[in-house]
Amino acid sequence: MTNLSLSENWRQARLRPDNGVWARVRSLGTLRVVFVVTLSVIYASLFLITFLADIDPHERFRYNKDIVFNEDSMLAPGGVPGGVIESSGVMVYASPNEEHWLGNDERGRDLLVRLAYGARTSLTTGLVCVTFFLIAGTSFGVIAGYFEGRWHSLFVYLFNIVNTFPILLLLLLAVIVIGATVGVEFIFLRIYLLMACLGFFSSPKLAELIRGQISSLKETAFVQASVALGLKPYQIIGKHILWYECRPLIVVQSAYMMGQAILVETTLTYLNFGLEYPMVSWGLMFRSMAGGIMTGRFQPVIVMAAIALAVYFFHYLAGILNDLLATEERRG
Amino acid sequence: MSLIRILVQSVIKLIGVTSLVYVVLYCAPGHIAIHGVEKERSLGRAAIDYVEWGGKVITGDWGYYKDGRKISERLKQHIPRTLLLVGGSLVISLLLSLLMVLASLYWQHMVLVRSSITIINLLSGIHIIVLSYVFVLFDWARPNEGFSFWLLIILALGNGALVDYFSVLHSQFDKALSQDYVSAALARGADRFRHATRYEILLAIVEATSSRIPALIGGTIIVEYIFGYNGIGFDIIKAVENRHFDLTMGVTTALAILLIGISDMTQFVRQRLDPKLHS
Repeated sequence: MTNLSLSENWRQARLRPDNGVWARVRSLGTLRVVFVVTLSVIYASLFLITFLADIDPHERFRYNKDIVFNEDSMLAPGGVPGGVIESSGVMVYASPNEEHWLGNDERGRDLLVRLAYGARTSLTTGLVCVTFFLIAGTSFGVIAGYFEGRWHSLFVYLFNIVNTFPILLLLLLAVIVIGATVGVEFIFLRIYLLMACLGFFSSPKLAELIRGQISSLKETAFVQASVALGLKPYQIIGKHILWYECRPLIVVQSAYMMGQAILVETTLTYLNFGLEYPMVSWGLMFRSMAGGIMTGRFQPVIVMAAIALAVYFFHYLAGILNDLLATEERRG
Repeated sequence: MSLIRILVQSVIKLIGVTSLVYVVLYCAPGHIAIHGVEKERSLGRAAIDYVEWGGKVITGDWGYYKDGRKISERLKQHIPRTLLLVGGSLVISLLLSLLMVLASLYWQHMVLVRSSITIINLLSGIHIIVLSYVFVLFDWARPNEGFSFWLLIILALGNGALVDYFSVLHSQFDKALSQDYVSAALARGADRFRHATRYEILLAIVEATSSRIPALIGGTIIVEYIFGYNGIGFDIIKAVENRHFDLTMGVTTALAILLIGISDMTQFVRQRLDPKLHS
């Protein structure tokens, strides 16, 4: 009890308003902060390297006698450590070496470069999804929370119906419509439209949370005071409710949605309804290397780990932001 | 709310959902055979065709798939298989999470309990595809439909449900056991778990189950595709791949009946269980 009180007092003392942003970050714990910062740096580096370096993610690499492999395994006749050399001289599923740090994939391409391009795809498609999620979720939430009576009931009813259905089913139905509307030559546009649909179909969850906040804050003293001072409804909703009260909620939900978007993009591509060659994405890499799992290759495991880590990172980031913004709220 | 009112609402929702999906698919651009024939489509004709289709569905004529089999028969065989997966995942994840929650409440500082909670949290980030392939990688899940195969695909599917159940049950148990009315019941000599279980835990389980089912159905689509398991999830993939109108509508209608039914029944059960709503 005493220890708990002391640690709580110490924590509260660290959170004094004059301690600033660093005190709030420190209160999260060193390990958590280091984990998030490290993964952010890795993810950002992978993303930026695709713009800064002039690398072709589809280049197939041939075997070269000067390459030094990192492992001392026996060189199989006609093969490279961990993989084989095709008749054209391309190294397939080669182990990590000084030229290709993570080895080569099933067609002899550099795995690290393709992971970097995959990170770029997942981030851009995720951002499209989150943008639509925010626009639709906030708009629906404000309309449902601000208006009373039939509009309110109608929106709540619709939110419940959309939430009843699996998002993947709704997206597969969207594939039928979008797949025929957008040609194969605009494959990127197709995935962007599907991600926009994902943001739209997921928006009732955010809308429901914002609606709840607006409904509970409507009768509070500061809103009544704002009305009495003659502020317009859009000012009260936009500044006082959305910006000051719902901001933590919106930020946390966006970070969580980013993780979900990566999962769904990977799933759609894996199911053959998303991206296709010549695009590079983690889902596409995993689909093309799935056969390698049966033969015990380690490269698909790296792609698996990249997907899992990225999703976990965004979910974890949502948790960290939740704690950070809740602290900020508590400090007033 | 009475059961009849809930049933009427369910029927209205069902008509709303199926009509919306019908019109969207009907007006979708590109080649799509409506009821087995390629015909001229317009928004005006969609309403008439929907009524005609609805009449046929009620009488049991859900159309035919490319192999000549009746879609109603195909769904009759595949729905129970998918429900078995969903039900199995729910039961196993509920039992596992209950065991872990109770263990964590009794032995809060045990390394084993704390590490299993950390593992549970880590599992939340792992994709269902990744987990399925981990089983394939270790040659644990061969598509022979033996017991281990069932168990593994149920575990792959139930991963998310386990995380959900664990977090919900852990917080609810914590909250429930510190409530004033539970302390009062304890002071009067009543079993503390009886009240906490009935009013807080059971309600939390019902709500967590209801909110998890859509995600589980979505998960079956992936799991059935990976393991080549003939269920309703595999059907929807085939329907979308082949742009088969009748099969898409059939699967959507069957899932709509199932999901709306579960959602509305949960609402009914919640009213029965929650003393605040009940009064």
